Amino acid sequence: MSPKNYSRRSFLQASGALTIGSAITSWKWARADENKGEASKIKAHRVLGRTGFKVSDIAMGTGGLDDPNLVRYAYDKGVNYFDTAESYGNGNAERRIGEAIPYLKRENIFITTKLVLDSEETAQSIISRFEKQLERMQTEYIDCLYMHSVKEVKRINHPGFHQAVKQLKSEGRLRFAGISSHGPSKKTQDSMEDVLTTAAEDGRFDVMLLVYGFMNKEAGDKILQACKKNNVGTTAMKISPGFISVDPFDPKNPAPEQQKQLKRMMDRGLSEEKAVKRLRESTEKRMKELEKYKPFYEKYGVKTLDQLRKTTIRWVLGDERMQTICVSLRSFDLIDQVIPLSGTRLSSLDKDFLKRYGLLFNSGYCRHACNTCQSACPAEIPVSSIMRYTYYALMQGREKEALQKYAGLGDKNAENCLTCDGQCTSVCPYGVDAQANLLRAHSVLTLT
Amino acid sequence: MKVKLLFIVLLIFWEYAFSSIHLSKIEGWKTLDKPLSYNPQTLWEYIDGAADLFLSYGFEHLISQELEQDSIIVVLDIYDMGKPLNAFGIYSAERPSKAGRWSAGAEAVIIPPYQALMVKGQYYVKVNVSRGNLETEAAYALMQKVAQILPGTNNYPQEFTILPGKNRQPYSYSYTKENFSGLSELNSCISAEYQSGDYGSYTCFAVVGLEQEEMQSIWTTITSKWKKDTFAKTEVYYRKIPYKGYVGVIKKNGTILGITGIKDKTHLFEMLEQLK
Repeated sequence: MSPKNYSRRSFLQASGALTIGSAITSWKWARADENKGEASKIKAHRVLGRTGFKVSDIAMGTGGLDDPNLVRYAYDKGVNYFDTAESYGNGNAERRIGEAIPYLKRENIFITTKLVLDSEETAQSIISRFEKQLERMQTEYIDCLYMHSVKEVKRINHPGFHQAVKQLKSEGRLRFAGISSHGPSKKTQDSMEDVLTTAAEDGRFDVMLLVYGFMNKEAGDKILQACKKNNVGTTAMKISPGFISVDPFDPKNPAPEQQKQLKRMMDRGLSEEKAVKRLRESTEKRMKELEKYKPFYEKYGVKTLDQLRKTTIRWVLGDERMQTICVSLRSFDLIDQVIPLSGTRLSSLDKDFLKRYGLLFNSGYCRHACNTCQSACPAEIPVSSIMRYTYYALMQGREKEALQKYAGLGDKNAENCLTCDGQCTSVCPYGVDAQANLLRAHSVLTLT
Repeated sequence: MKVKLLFIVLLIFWEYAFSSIHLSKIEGWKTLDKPLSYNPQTLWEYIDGAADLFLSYGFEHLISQELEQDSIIVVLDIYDMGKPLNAFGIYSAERPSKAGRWSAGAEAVIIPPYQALMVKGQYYVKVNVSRGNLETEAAYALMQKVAQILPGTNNYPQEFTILPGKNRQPYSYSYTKENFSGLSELNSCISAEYQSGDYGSYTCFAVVGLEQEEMQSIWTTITSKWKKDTFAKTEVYYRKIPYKGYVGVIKKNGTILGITGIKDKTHLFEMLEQLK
């Protein structure tokens, strides 16, 4: 296991800020796996709800896509579901699909794209935007148009969208309608669960895109149940793996990441002695936390992050109600690593591990797209933003930027949590100690 | 305490920098309502999922202003990306490859009748039409006027001077933060397109803007995963890219320089040797 990753991810296990697309890009792949991956192909397909289309169980997400050859490569491996959006790179992800399309058999693939809509957007405006999407993708029709990132139940009835869909379908330029949700970003908005279960019952949506992983199973279960009942197609996004490991700290021989941390602290005026003391204390604290998880790693032979992450993908694949899983395939290496997971199922050992892991971590894991705690916070601190900055700092190596952003919150930071009675923790439907998470985040983001 | 003080100073500096942009001084255009302002915490409210890409390129602040001229209404967005290279990165990530390029700011593209993009210094500018049609000439004129009110020079980020000038295609610079050419080992790459009689079209690139340690990490990955060869005493590392031919790199004065898009391995080696 990479020592660097080990420490970087230590907070994320608790914060749950990982998303599959970004986390997956930092995997450290083994050479043997790569070789296996190059020869691999998609092995399983599922019927995407009432669309009747047999989709590959692994789909290609195109957020950040910058090279049409990646689309070709995924297609040649058997991926036949491509998910994009108008907003990805100002339409450039759609353009990359368009550049790849001459090399693909259009009738053999399912293309979905998305539009974020204003509440008052008219059908004509939506059609005009859709026409540009067709042009960018060099195709005469789109298989599914999603109303994207819906945060309120009332938006399901968007008149402009439904009118546009009706017209586009009648003209043969669109086959199906879809809806996606990541959960609320403001406390007045609705949960992903409410939005998508209502949409599944609504009858006008053929496919939906939802946040789903073994650690945020509860909300997803209800949505999947509603989709199954109404024969709505299902696509998973943002699976949240999560893992903790910590480098032991030896001041005479610190790990590279620890060297960086020490340098940063000293750059900010701390004496070497104090910096070493702080790092030792924080390392010891994390190692103590890690101790309780070790029996599981040992019992089930979990030795690498790859193992847990691949297991997580396979967990989703093992759920027959989820018809495909959307992974941001931003490099050839990543495609080579993800495709071999197609058609795989968890072994009973894996299932047992995840079950125990889920139970163990249940009270430490902050679910993506939940945000319940934010409405209870008397100081109105932006909980999800703080978790995101921590993710930048620990997972993406963007420490400086994360610290700046956090400082930019001014008084609305997690220092407020020190003197608070922790209403966020008491309202958390999953029993997460949100206050403790925020205090940890404060420590990470202020280097204290 | 020192950290807090530093942030206050930065905040004041930033407020000053942005307050020096006078949107009302764009000749021939009338401002409608007050400008909207977004920071990294609130960018999602404005552009939702697209915010991820902006943040990955170091987005710091956005002002958005509606402007009107006769029957046309546009939304002018000015993104402060902190550094010229970051601004150029997000510009190249959003710039349609086939749209016409213009000399406004460092560079601009116009996608008539609904959009125009420009980069100048640390600012990335995006104009979206919300009413009427913005034709090429009007869009170009607007971009020039916006460039005039933005601080800084109209030069490309200085990092691009590393790339060779011979055979370089105009307006072909790019900056890619991650997975250059679909390769997970190539991050933070500037690049440009080239055309030569001997070798056809190809791309030159260099890894820039990273700390020494990060640069070394990239080099270690390349040297451990790619094939190695020596050509005219130049040590080269290379691999194949699906559908695209070969990519190869050399190290010159501590910088990783490379060429991609070459079908013939010997040609690649010759070209890398010339880079050296």
